[in-house]
Amino acid sequence: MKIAIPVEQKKMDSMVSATFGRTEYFLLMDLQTQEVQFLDSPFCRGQSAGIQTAQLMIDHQVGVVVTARCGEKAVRLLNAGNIQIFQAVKATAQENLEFYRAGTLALLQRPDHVCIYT
Amino acid sequence: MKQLLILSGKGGTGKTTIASSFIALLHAQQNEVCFADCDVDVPNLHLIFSEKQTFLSEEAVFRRRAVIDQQLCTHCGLCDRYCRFGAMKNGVINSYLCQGCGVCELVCPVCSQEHKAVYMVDICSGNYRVSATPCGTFSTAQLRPGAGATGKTINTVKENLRRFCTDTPVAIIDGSPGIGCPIISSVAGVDLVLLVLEPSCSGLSDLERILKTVRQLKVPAVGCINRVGIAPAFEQQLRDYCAEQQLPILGEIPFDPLVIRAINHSRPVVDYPQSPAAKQIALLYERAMEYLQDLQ
Amino acid sequence: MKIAVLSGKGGTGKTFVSVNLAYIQEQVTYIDCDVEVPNGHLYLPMKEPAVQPVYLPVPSIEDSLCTGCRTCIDFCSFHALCWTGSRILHFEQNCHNCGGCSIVCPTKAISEKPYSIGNICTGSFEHVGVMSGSLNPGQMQGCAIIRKMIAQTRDLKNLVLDCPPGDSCHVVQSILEADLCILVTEPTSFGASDMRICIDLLKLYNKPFGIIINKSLDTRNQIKTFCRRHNVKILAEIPLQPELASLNASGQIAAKNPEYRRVFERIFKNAQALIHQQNQ
Repeated sequence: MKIAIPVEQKKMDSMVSATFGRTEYFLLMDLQTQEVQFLDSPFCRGQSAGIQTAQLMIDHQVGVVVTARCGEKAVRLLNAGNIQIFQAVKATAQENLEFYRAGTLALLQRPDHVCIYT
Repeated sequence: MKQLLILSGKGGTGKTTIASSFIALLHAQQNEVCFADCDVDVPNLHLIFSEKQTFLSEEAVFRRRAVIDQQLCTHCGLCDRYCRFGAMKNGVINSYLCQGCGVCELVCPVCSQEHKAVYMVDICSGNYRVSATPCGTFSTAQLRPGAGATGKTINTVKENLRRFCTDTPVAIIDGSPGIGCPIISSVAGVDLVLLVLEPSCSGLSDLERILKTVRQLKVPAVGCINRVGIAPAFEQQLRDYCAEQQLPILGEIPFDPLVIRAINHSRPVVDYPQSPAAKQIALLYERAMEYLQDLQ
Repeated sequence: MKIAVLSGKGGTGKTFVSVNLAYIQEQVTYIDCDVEVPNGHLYLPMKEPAVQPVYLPVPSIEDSLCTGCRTCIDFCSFHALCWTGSRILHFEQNCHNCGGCSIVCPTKAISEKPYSIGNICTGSFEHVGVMSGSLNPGQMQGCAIIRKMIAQTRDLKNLVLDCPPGDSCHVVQSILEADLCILVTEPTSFGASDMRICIDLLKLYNKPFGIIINKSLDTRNQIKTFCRRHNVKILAEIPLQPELASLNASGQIAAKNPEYRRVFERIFKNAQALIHQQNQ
């Protein structure tokens, strides 16, 4: 199962991105093999960024997302894909991974604003 | 960056008038100011801040639209039958009604090596503009007449502001009338909406609809009543309605002919300190900024 | 005669002009095309209006027939369809109701079901026929409601179409079948700027048009200068008057007063003359 964290730079000690849909990169870690890869998220300047980014998660077999915030539509799709969404703390991706493994991260309480792009 | 969006529902209530004064006041207090005009169909904010603008960025706005290759077209009329937007009539495309769905291209039976007789292209319908003005960084878009702002257009105008002004503490966003897609996109992601209310039967009716829309999007809102003095009965109805709906009214601005003079001289109203409206706008500004800062 | 009343800038007095222009005619229907924030019904309240809901088709996916090929997702220009890993998920708010997904599905797993986006109220106020469209807050396909109202009144001879502000596709839809357009503006730099944008739109559609300068203050103003320079017809200039403003704010028909009635009769006459001139 993979865990995904939106990051500002392609490194383990990068700060977690302030957004989900508009992040430029994701850190993906396979929780069994510990293998880490970085994914480009090409939706930061386009339409329906939240939905498309959530679709990216589903297509990469992500099981857990750790994010600072997440829009309503992205949440709807992630939930439908049985992906758990945790509230990131304002720290590096590495630190958030450790918090997740320690079980100290809370689930994302509420999705925020509805974004509509046509 | 905290974003304050100025909306109304009803047109002509004074959004741009208030936005321009807020920008001027903010600039007087802090050097870093940024603002956007999301009323991109008929923009007005640039008329107040038109002097000494230097472009920082200009990018084309693209819309996906259907076009017909008349050489290939056999006038079978299938595209006309399937188009749900009335954009296809007698083999002529109305690109302002075309929504770029691609169904016409899908059903078109005629194909050459390059494309079908009806095919989709990205048409430039205007420009996104970010400019540096004496008052701060300004993001807007200029569209061809009839092109129409979409949610994506509005979102990009706001995104551009974020890109150029990441460290600016407050952004003022001038919105458009209505409650549809461009308004919904304007509201998405802002910290506070300031509704400018008009004391009239139309103003009250439109307030109900815009408030419903803003509340659906879960963004906090406050209000102010503009042009007080013309219809006192409706001023009271507005106050009662706002109290009932728990919409805090942060200020009341009197009707003031000096406002028109200010606009016609491309000046923010607060440049005329003797104006009664200017005094109330300044008070409204202080309360709005305080409310914005206090939000969690 | 089908007259569309538009403005560019909001709050110049489109509804004020529209309802009064309708009121002075013997046989006419007023159509409120400002479906996002309709106001005409406040001036022309209908007695027992007929309310028809407006439905748009949205896709309905039969999961048992869906193979997960994602052809529908690839086709959709609006990102209204997604794959959850086991089934298709549809986002109504993104959907433009184009019908493309149901056409493109190779297993015919997608049919369409109706989804309500608003309604149309039809009735009359005294001698005026009234049709008012209303889009539900949160929905986006206002054009569909406008199209329906225009289709339902296509065979009527006399219409006054009260347009939304701006120059969006809602406005384009509203003016498309009009014989004449009246551009209501105000003598401010905002009004002038927005008016010029709308004039470009009207010229694009070859629509005969005239200007009404509302809330006029000075004898000389930039609108008049512009019109003189560009040979644009001014149908009327209505001065800023507190009593008129107050009357209008309270939802009353100004034309019930003989003095204001004359103003609108003159506008109507000028409009007819403009059409007559065009036809020659």
